[in-house]
Amino acid sequence: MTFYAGERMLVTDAMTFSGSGNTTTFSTTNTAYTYTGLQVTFIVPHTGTVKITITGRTWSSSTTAHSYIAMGVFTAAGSVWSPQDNESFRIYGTNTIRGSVATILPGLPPGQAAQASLYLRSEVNTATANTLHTNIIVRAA
Amino acid sequence: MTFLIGQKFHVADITTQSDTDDPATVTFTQTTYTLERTSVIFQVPSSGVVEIEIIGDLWATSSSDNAYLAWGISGTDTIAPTDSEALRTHGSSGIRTKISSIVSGLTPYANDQISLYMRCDSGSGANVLHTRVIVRPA
Repeated sequence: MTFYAGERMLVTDAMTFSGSGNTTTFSTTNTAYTYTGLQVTFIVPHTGTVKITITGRTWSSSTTAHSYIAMGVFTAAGSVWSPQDNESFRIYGTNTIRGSVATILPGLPPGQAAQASLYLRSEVNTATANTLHTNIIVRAA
Repeated sequence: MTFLIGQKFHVADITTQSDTDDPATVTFTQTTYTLERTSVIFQVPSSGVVEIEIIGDLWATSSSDNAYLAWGISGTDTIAPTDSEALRTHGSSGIRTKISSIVSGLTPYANDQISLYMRCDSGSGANVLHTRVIVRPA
Protein backbone atom coordinates (compact mmCIF):
# COMPACT_ATOMS: atom_id res chain seq x y z
CA MET A 1 0.00 0.00 0.00
CA THR A 2 1.12 3.57 -0.50
CA PHE A 3 0.82 6.25 2.15
CA TYR A 4 2.20 9.73 1.91
CA ALA A 5 3.84 11.59 4.76
CA GLY A 6 1.25 13.68 6.55
CA GLU A 7 -1.68 11.80 5.07
CA ARG A 8 -4.58 11.48 7.46
CA MET A 9 -5.43 8.00 8.54
CA LEU A 10 -9.00 6.70 8.45
CA VAL A 11 -10.34 5.38 11.71
CA THR A 12 -11.10 1.97 10.22
CA ASP A 13 -7.48 1.56 9.13
CA ALA A 14 -6.30 1.24 12.70
CA MET A 15 -8.95 -1.24 13.79
CA THR A 16 -8.54 -4.89 14.65
CA PHE A 17 -11.37 -7.39 14.45
CA SER A 18 -11.38 -10.79 16.08
CA GLY A 19 -13.58 -13.66 17.16
CA SER A 20 -13.27 -17.03 18.88
CA GLY A 21 -15.07 -20.31 18.38
CA ASN A 22 -15.08 -24.06 18.87
CA THR A 23 -15.16 -24.28 22.66
CA THR A 24 -16.12 -27.90 22.06
CA THR A 25 -14.46 -30.07 19.44
CA PHE A 26 -15.66 -29.64 15.87
CA SER A 27 -15.03 -32.70 13.71
CA THR A 28 -15.48 -33.68 10.11
CA THR A 29 -14.57 -36.51 7.76
CA ASN A 30 -15.16 -34.31 4.72
CA THR A 31 -12.17 -34.02 2.41
CA ALA A 32 -13.56 -30.70 1.14
CA TYR A 33 -13.30 -27.66 3.39
CA THR A 34 -16.25 -27.52 5.79
CA TYR A 35 -17.46 -24.42 7.67
CA THR A 36 -16.71 -24.66 11.40
CA GLY A 37 -19.19 -22.02 12.56
CA LEU A 38 -16.59 -19.32 13.32
CA GLN A 39 -16.97 -16.12 11.35
CA VAL A 40 -15.65 -12.58 11.90
CA THR A 41 -17.18 -9.54 10.22
CA PHE A 42 -14.80 -6.67 9.49
CA ILE A 43 -14.67 -3.36 7.62
CA VAL A 44 -12.14 -3.33 4.79
CA PRO A 45 -9.59 -0.50 5.24
CA HIS A 46 -9.14 2.04 2.46
CA THR A 47 -6.00 0.22 1.32
CA GLY A 48 -8.14 -2.81 0.47
CA THR A 49 -5.56 -5.02 2.18
CA VAL A 50 -5.90 -6.96 5.42
CA LYS A 51 -3.83 -9.41 7.38
CA ILE A 52 -5.86 -12.38 8.57
CA THR A 53 -4.45 -14.67 11.28
CA ILE A 54 -6.12 -17.97 12.11
CA THR A 55 -5.29 -19.93 15.25
CA GLY A 56 -6.55 -23.27 16.47
CA ARG A 57 -5.90 -26.63 17.98
CA THR A 58 -6.15 -29.45 15.47
CA TRP A 59 -5.46 -33.16 15.05
CA SER A 60 -6.45 -36.15 12.96
CA SER A 61 -7.97 -39.40 14.18
CA SER A 62 -5.50 -41.27 11.97
CA THR A 63 -1.75 -41.52 12.44
CA THR A 64 -1.35 -41.35 8.66
CA ALA A 65 -3.63 -38.45 7.71
CA HIS A 66 -3.52 -34.65 7.75
CA SER A 67 -5.96 -32.24 9.35
CA TYR A 68 -6.23 -28.75 7.81
CA ILE A 69 -7.66 -25.45 9.14
CA ALA A 70 -8.03 -22.65 6.59
CA MET A 71 -10.00 -19.45 6.08
CA GLY A 72 -12.32 -18.08 3.45
CA VAL A 73 -13.46 -14.49 2.86
CA PHE A 74 -16.82 -13.21 1.62
CA THR A 75 -18.12 -9.79 0.69
CA ALA A 76 -21.58 -8.72 -0.39
CA ALA A 77 -20.54 -9.71 -3.91
CA GLY A 78 -19.82 -13.28 -2.82
CA SER A 79 -16.71 -15.34 -2.16
CA VAL A 80 -13.42 -13.49 -2.73
CA TRP A 81 -11.09 -16.05 -1.16
CA SER A 82 -11.54 -19.81 -0.83
CA PRO A 83 -9.82 -21.95 1.82
CA GLN A 84 -6.81 -23.78 0.43
CA ASP A 85 -4.09 -26.10 1.68
CA ASN A 86 -1.18 -23.80 0.90
CA GLU A 87 -2.67 -21.12 3.20
CA SER A 88 -3.71 -23.56 5.91
CA PHE A 89 -2.59 -24.47 9.38
CA ARG A 90 -2.08 -28.24 9.25
CA ILE A 91 -0.84 -31.17 11.28
CA TYR A 92 -0.13 -34.77 10.29
CA GLY A 93 -1.24 -37.56 12.63
CA THR A 94 -2.99 -37.82 15.97
CA ASN A 95 -0.76 -35.56 18.02
CA THR A 96 -2.63 -32.35 18.75
CA ILE A 97 -1.13 -28.94 18.34
CA ARG A 98 -2.38 -25.38 18.70
CA GLY A 99 -0.76 -22.96 16.29
CA SER A 100 -1.53 -20.34 13.69
CA VAL A 101 -0.82 -18.94 10.24
CA ALA A 102 -1.37 -15.53 8.65
CA THR A 103 -2.34 -14.39 5.17
CA ILE A 104 -1.99 -10.95 3.56
CA LEU A 105 -5.08 -10.48 1.42
CA PRO A 106 -5.19 -7.48 -0.98
CA GLY A 107 -7.88 -6.35 -3.39
CA LEU A 108 -10.89 -6.19 -1.06
CA PRO A 109 -13.52 -3.44 -1.50
CA PRO A 110 -12.52 -0.47 0.71
CA GLY A 111 -15.07 0.62 3.29
CA GLN A 112 -17.32 -2.40 2.82
CA ALA A 113 -18.12 -5.13 5.30
CA ALA A 114 -16.57 -8.52 4.72
CA GLN A 115 -16.57 -11.83 6.56
CA ALA A 116 -13.64 -14.12 7.34
CA SER A 117 -14.74 -17.68 8.07
CA LEU A 118 -12.90 -20.73 9.37
CA TYR A 119 -12.97 -24.12 7.65
CA LEU A 120 -11.72 -27.62 8.45
CA ARG A 121 -11.00 -30.60 6.24
CA SER A 122 -9.59 -34.11 6.54
CA GLU A 123 -7.09 -35.56 4.10
CA VAL A 124 -9.07 -38.81 3.81
CA ASN A 125 -12.72 -39.57 4.46
CA THR A 126 -11.78 -42.56 6.62
CA ALA A 127 -10.26 -40.27 9.25
CA THR A 128 -11.72 -37.45 11.32
CA ALA A 129 -10.20 -33.97 11.29
CA ASN A 130 -10.76 -32.15 14.58
CA THR A 131 -10.45 -28.57 15.78
CA LEU A 132 -10.86 -26.78 19.10
CA HIS A 133 -10.32 -23.31 20.56
CA THR A 134 -10.06 -21.43 17.31
CA ASN A 135 -9.87 -17.73 16.64
CA ILE A 136 -9.55 -15.29 13.77
CA ILE A 137 -7.84 -11.88 13.92
CA VAL A 138 -8.21 -9.35 11.08
CA ARG A 139 -6.02 -6.25 10.93
CA ALA A 140 -5.54 -3.48 8.40
CA ALA A 141 -2.34 -3.94 6.40
CA MET B 1 1.14 1.30 17.67
CA THR B 2 -1.67 3.80 18.17
CA PHE B 3 -2.63 6.45 15.62
CA LEU B 4 -4.97 9.34 16.32
CA ILE B 5 -7.20 10.86 13.68
CA GLY B 6 -5.21 13.46 11.79
CA GLN B 7 -1.92 12.46 13.38
CA LYS B 8 1.08 12.63 11.08
CA PHE B 9 3.25 9.58 10.74
CA HIS B 10 6.29 8.36 8.87
CA VAL B 11 5.72 6.47 5.65
CA ALA B 12 7.76 3.53 6.88
CA ASP B 13 5.77 3.23 10.08
CA ILE B 14 2.65 1.86 8.42
CA THR B 15 4.09 -0.45 5.83
CA THR B 16 3.61 -4.19 5.94
CA GLN B 17 5.85 -6.28 3.71
CA SER B 18 5.29 -9.92 2.85
CA ASP B 19 6.07 -12.58 0.32
CA THR B 20 5.35 -16.21 -0.39
CA ASP B 21 7.49 -18.90 -2.04
CA ASP B 22 8.42 -22.59 -2.18
CA PRO B 23 5.56 -24.05 -4.19
CA ALA B 24 7.54 -27.33 -4.22
CA THR B 25 9.40 -29.07 -1.39
CA VAL B 26 12.98 -27.99 -0.70
CA THR B 27 15.27 -30.31 1.32
CA PHE B 28 18.40 -29.49 3.37
CA THR B 29 20.75 -32.03 4.94
CA GLN B 30 23.08 -29.50 6.58
CA THR B 31 23.27 -29.36 10.37
CA THR B 32 24.22 -25.67 10.35
CA TYR B 33 21.87 -22.98 9.12
CA THR B 34 21.94 -22.81 5.33
CA LEU B 35 20.29 -20.16 3.15
CA GLU B 36 16.89 -21.34 2.00
CA ARG B 37 15.90 -18.17 0.16
CA THR B 38 16.14 -14.42 0.33
CA SER B 39 12.89 -12.73 1.14
CA VAL B 40 11.44 -9.28 1.70
CA ILE B 41 13.40 -6.03 1.72
CA PHE B 42 11.87 -3.60 4.19
CA GLN B 43 12.50 -0.13 5.55
CA VAL B 44 13.00 -0.11 9.31
CA PRO B 45 10.37 2.07 11.03
CA SER B 46 11.34 5.02 13.17
CA SER B 47 10.97 2.89 16.31
CA GLY B 48 13.69 0.50 15.16
CA VAL B 49 11.35 -2.33 16.13
CA VAL B 50 9.60 -4.80 13.82
CA GLU B 51 7.53 -7.93 14.19
CA ILE B 52 8.67 -10.77 11.95
CA GLU B 53 6.44 -13.74 11.22
CA ILE B 54 7.60 -16.80 9.34
CA ILE B 55 5.25 -19.53 8.17
CA GLY B 56 6.16 -22.88 6.70
CA ASP B 57 5.13 -26.46 6.10
CA LEU B 58 7.97 -28.29 7.86
CA TRP B 59 9.09 -31.87 8.54
CA ALA B 60 12.25 -33.97 8.97
CA THR B 61 13.04 -36.88 6.67
CA SER B 62 13.75 -39.16 9.65
CA SER B 63 11.36 -39.89 12.50
CA SER B 64 14.21 -39.19 14.93
CA ASP B 65 15.52 -35.95 13.43
CA ASN B 66 14.53 -32.31 13.97
CA ALA B 67 13.85 -29.75 11.25
CA TYR B 68 14.39 -26.02 11.82
CA LEU B 69 13.24 -23.00 9.78
CA ALA B 70 14.71 -19.69 10.97
CA TRP B 71 15.05 -16.09 9.79
CA GLY B 72 18.09 -13.83 9.55
CA ILE B 73 18.54 -10.14 8.76
CA SER B 74 21.14 -8.62 6.46
CA GLY B 75 21.81 -5.17 5.07
CA THR B 76 22.52 -2.26 7.37
CA ASP B 77 21.73 -4.54 10.31
CA THR B 78 22.91 -8.13 10.70
CA ILE B 79 21.20 -10.82 12.78
CA ALA B 80 22.06 -14.50 12.33
CA PRO B 81 19.41 -17.25 12.44
CA THR B 82 19.10 -19.03 15.79
CA ASP B 83 17.29 -22.08 17.15
CA SER B 84 15.66 -19.93 19.81
CA GLU B 85 13.77 -17.96 17.15
CA ALA B 86 13.17 -20.87 14.76
CA LEU B 87 10.11 -22.80 13.73
CA ARG B 88 10.93 -26.39 14.68
CA THR B 89 9.36 -29.83 14.43
CA HIS B 90 10.48 -33.30 15.49
CA GLY B 91 10.06 -36.30 13.23
CA SER B 92 8.62 -36.90 9.81
CA SER B 93 5.07 -35.77 10.62
CA GLY B 94 4.59 -32.47 8.87
CA ILE B 95 3.16 -29.30 10.28
CA ARG B 96 2.31 -25.93 8.76
CA THR B 97 2.27 -23.12 11.29
CA LYS B 98 4.04 -19.87 12.15
CA ILE B 99 6.18 -18.18 14.75
CA SER B 100 6.49 -14.49 15.57
CA SER B 101 9.53 -12.56 16.75
CA ILE B 102 9.89 -8.98 17.94
CA VAL B 103 13.22 -7.51 16.86
CA SER B 104 14.42 -4.24 18.39
CA GLY B 105 17.48 -2.08 17.97
CA LEU B 106 17.42 -1.93 14.18
CA THR B 107 18.65 1.21 12.45
CA PRO B 108 15.70 3.54 11.80
CA TYR B 109 14.92 4.00 8.09
CA ALA B 110 17.61 1.53 7.00
CA ASN B 111 16.83 -0.90 4.20
CA ASP B 112 17.22 -4.41 5.59
CA GLN B 113 16.46 -7.81 4.13
CA ILE B 114 15.06 -10.94 5.69
CA SER B 115 16.23 -14.39 4.57
CA LEU B 116 15.06 -17.86 5.54
CA TYR B 117 17.46 -20.58 6.66
CA MET B 118 17.08 -24.32 7.22
CA ARG B 119 18.92 -27.00 9.16
CA CYS B 120 18.42 -30.42 10.74
CA ASP B 121 20.08 -32.08 13.74
CA SER B 122 21.38 -35.38 12.38
CA GLY B 123 21.59 -34.92 8.62
CA SER B 124 18.58 -36.95 7.50
CA GLY B 125 17.05 -33.90 5.89
CA ALA B 126 14.87 -30.95 6.78
CA ASN B 127 12.01 -30.31 4.36
CA VAL B 128 10.02 -27.14 3.78
CA LEU B 129 7.07 -26.09 1.62
CA HIS B 130 4.77 -23.07 1.23
CA THR B 131 6.82 -20.53 3.18
CA ARG B 132 5.82 -16.96 3.94
CA VAL B 133 7.50 -13.97 5.57
CA ILE B 134 5.58 -11.00 7.00
CA VAL B 135 7.24 -7.89 8.44
CA ARG B 136 5.30 -5.20 10.27
CA PRO B 137 6.38 -2.17 12.29
CA ALA B 138 6.08 -2.66 16.04
